[in-house]
Amino acid sequence: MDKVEQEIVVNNIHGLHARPAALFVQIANKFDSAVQLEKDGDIVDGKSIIAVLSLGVTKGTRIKLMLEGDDANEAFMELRKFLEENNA
Amino acid sequence: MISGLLKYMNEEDIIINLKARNKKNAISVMLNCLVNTKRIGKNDKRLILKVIMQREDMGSTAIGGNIALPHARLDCVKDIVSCIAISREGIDFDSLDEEPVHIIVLLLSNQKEAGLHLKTLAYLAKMLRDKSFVRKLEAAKEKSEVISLIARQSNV
Repeated sequence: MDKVEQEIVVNNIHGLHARPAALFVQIANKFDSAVQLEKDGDIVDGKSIIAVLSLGVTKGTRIKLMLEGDDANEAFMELRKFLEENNA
Repeated sequence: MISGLLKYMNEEDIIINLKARNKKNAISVMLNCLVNTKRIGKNDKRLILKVIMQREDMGSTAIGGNIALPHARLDCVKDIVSCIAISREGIDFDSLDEEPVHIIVLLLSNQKEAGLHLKTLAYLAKMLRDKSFVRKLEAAKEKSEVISLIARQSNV
């Protein structure tokens, strides 16, 4: 069981509002690992759109990505790429 | 912070027992409500409906858990306008979890209000991520009950 935790500055131009949040969750759900996001002490399930949306993550926001599970490393790479890319 | 939401929610812009055949019809009924309460112009309704449906075509805003948050930013909308509808039967909204939608919160913002628009969506999500709150909303029988539930949830 792997555990990965890292702070990331979100560079996605639209932050994580409705559509990007849905895309993030879609990627997260490809993996078996538990995915959590933390912003300002608020920790939410990274596999739920409403939860991700509720963080109100805008471009430039620093969040912590936390993963736990057998495919945590692989999931981390993909999710970090999504958050860091300026995919308008 | 969430209490700021109440500024944009009016008792008269709540539909307690929404009857609608489908997603487009539901949104149309909600826009009619906003026309009647003069939050949006009658002549703007068609354009607003078109923009909302274009957004829905990109990906449904029915994000699971029986909730939908259709939204759009337009020049013809003043500040931020919202309408809440509750459907007892549930509406097919092409939701991501394929479940019918019981709570629809429609959010319209002025084109210039990108930041506030996203912030308001986030506040709505924060409120609605609480499943027991959603169940209480679904069961509300009066418009005033919806407002007081939201006010209470805002203080959590």
